[in-house]
Amino acid sequence: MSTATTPLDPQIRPDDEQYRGHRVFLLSILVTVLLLAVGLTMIHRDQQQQVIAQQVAHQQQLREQGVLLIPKISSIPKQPDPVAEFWTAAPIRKVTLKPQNVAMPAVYEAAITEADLQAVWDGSQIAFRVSWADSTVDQNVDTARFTDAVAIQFPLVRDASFMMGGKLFPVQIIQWKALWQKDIDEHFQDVQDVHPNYWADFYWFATPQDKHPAQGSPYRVPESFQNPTALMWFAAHQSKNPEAQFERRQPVQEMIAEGFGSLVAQTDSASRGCGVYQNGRWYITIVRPLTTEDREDFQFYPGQTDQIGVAIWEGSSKNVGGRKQYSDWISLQVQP
Amino acid sequence: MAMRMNWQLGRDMTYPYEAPPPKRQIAYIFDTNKCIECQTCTVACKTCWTSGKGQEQIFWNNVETKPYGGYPMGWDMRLLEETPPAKWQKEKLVSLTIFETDKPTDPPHGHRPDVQDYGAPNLGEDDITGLVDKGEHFGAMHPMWMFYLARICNHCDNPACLAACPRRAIYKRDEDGIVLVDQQRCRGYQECVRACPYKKVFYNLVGRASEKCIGCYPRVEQGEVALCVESCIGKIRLHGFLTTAAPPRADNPFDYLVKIRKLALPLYPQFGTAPNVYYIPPLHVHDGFLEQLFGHGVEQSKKMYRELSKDRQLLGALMLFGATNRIINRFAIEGDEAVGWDMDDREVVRVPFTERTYIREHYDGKHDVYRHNTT
Repeated sequence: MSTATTPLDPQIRPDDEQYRGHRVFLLSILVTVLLLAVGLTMIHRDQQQQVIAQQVAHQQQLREQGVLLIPKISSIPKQPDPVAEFWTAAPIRKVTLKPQNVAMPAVYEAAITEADLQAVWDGSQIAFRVSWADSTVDQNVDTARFTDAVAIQFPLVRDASFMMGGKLFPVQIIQWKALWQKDIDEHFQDVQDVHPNYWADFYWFATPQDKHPAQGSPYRVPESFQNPTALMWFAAHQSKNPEAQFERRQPVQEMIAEGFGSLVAQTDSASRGCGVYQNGRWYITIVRPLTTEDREDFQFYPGQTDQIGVAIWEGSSKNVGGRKQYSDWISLQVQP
Repeated sequence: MAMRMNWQLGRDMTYPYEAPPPKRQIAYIFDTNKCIECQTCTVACKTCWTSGKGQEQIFWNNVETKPYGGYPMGWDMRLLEETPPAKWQKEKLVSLTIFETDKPTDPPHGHRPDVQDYGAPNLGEDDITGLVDKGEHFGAMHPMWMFYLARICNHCDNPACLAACPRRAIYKRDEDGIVLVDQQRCRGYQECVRACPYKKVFYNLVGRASEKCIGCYPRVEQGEVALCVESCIGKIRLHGFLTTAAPPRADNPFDYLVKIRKLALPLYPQFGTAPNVYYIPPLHVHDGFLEQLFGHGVEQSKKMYRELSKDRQLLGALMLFGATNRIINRFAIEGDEAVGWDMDDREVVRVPFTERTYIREHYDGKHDVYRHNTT
């Protein structure tokens, strides 16, 4: 009788010896794969640990080299806040300031010698904070009276000088002025804010305001000077001088420089800012997008090492213009 | 640093910029002997140019009493104290100008007035040099004196304000030498306020920029004299141009009075800015004081002025003061008249040496009235 057999027939058992050989072979492959996987994982973990260790060491090294590390936080508030909670955790880079005595006019003794520099980012915005001890608050200007101020600077091309750049080596400068802060916090700082008892009977074509007779004058800038003819005497304002803005929206201004004396305000200023004076110290924050479409703006890229400069003006010490104290370039890195 | 010839000092001096002189140089002559300090010039200027908010203390034109007056307070005395006294060897200054006293890289030597210094525009007004003793009487020369000094921006050949501006926001116009602050570029550093020895740049706390006398350039461009000149009721002022590109012309009243005859003298030439407001010194003030103010030519100038009646050309030029609102480019004496032509060479003024006298009848038949010598 002939019996039809199929490999699936349970009656038919394969040769034990033959199948044992196969099994061992498969098992050994499996074990090898497993071992390989475990080994690779271990190697990878090791590598990862090494990378982390390297990163930590690198950060430590950067920190030791004085690089300002910019950590990522969840979000930077829309309204710039120089005393927000997150600043307490942000790394501080101590900045040494020297008197500007290279270009005339100069100062030969620094009124402020040290400042604290910090920065954070949140994926789209970057915020800087500069703080320094100043025993006097100078927020108004007049003849021989000057405002406290701070500026941060970034090189727009490689090797631009920390002294406001140079011809073909432009830098971007973002300045905050205590005067501008007061313009925003209170109102445009007018004659009566400096000389409360000053009185003038009238100003041509101006409209007296009867709301604030106690403020010393019924004529206030800009409320009383809405008539275009009344504005004729404000030559700087009418010339669109960025200093003579009566309705300022930000206490900071973005500018471009190609060396001493060449500072020019940028048409578009994306930066926002705020400054407060607390316990004998100024705390100023300047916030701007990490990257912008503006070709005149410095662009920040995570992981890249960049440079920042700081300058501070102390009003009571008659600091203004080139009469300031400033830092060398300080390296910074937005931490990915 | 460039070396520039300063004709007022009779020597070369250093200045930060090399620049050719302007095509012509705006200039003024003020006759101090005729000024009564009515301040009409001050009001004319202020009403037109500086009556805005923030300009309360800004006087592009002011008239002060010398020796004690000054706006801002002590503007000249403070600088005189800080700089070495002027020393002249004949017509050459041998002492140092404000551009030469400090290090070559420093801005011109100056002092920045404080805000209080602008608080009293008429301080020292009408004060004389000393007390009047009991029994004092006039004996040909007053023992004590004062005089009025009208002051505007000097539109200097070597402006200290321009030299000091780190932003180069101040410029001197090539067409007329008028010195202006670029109101768009100025950032209010006040370096010009500090450097100008005449303190004729002012800080505007509302505009937050510095401002100065603009030489009434919109009028000058039309051939008209500045408002302070036109409004002067004492006719003490003449406004026009000095020749810069050619030798002085005897028929240009400015070249004639300033460079050829040297009747009108610069104010504090020793500062070195080569100012372009020229003064005829007051006759009644002693030379020592006047030489400090106007340099070496005082004695000669006074002598000429005393002998004016014999000097028809000089007197003729002086008769043009306040006679027209047009800038006089050329003048001549024709018979009994001094004649002036404007920049377009049109005759604009004819002043007789002797005022015509009209004698009218006592009785006016036409109106049937008697004329009385009273008003």
